[in-house]
Amino acid sequence: MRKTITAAILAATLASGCASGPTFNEAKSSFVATPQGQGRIFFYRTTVAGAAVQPSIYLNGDVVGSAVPGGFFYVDRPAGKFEVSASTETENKLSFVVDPGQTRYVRLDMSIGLFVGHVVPRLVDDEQGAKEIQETKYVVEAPKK
Amino acid sequence: MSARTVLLLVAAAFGGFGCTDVPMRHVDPPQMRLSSDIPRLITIAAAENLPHSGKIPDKRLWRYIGSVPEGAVYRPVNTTFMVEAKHAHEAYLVLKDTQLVAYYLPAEGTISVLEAPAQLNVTSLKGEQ
Repeated sequence: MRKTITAAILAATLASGCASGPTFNEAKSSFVATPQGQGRIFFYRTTVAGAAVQPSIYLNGDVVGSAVPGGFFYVDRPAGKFEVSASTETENKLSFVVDPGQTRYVRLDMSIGLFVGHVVPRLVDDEQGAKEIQETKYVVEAPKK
Repeated sequence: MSARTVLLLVAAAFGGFGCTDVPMRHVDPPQMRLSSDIPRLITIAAAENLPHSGKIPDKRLWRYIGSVPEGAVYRPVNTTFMVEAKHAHEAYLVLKDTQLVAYYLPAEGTISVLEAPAQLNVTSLKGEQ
């Protein structure tokens, strides 16, 4: 019985921390076209491990969203140079460039930390990102500050 | 061994404590050269264990985007190439003939010269632009 209760609490904890919006395929028809001269950056997190850890995601120093397990969001930005980081105990930065009209995929992986896990942003191939993001759900709430 | 020492060792193991980033220095943007010696489009056979965790997938296309003093700079076509130390960086290859001599980091506008060049299996796609 104790095991069942523990499992139920664990399941509830995990479920409450996961994305609950429409799937990528359901949401994509609502995406606006990328403005002229800009590129699109998708952020997504497939892992449910460490669900309680949902740090803010920074793009060139501005908060653009949170690393919600099983969730994705996107931003459009003028083409240029970008740096992504997450507000966890260890700061792992990712740098890349975006061309006009280009779409890039940043996967938010979990890594073991000293006290809690931390999020490591990784740039993935277009093909891989386009495939993996379909397993995630749209995070539409305003990003945490 | 004190508790503090143990904590520091654990921090070093899990937090990347003391880990340095990819060494780099600023460089002028790659300049296009019209030399016929520089193939515009190449493929490279798979190469792993390159410096700074670089991994080249097999037979992907790489396009010449210009040259820096160290060599010709190639950008992957429709794929991503990363190098990583403390932080992860998108990178292009800097080749001298068929040797990888450096990484060009476009977001930083910097170059990271390798301590030892790495031989790559490069195929030039002649006639392709």
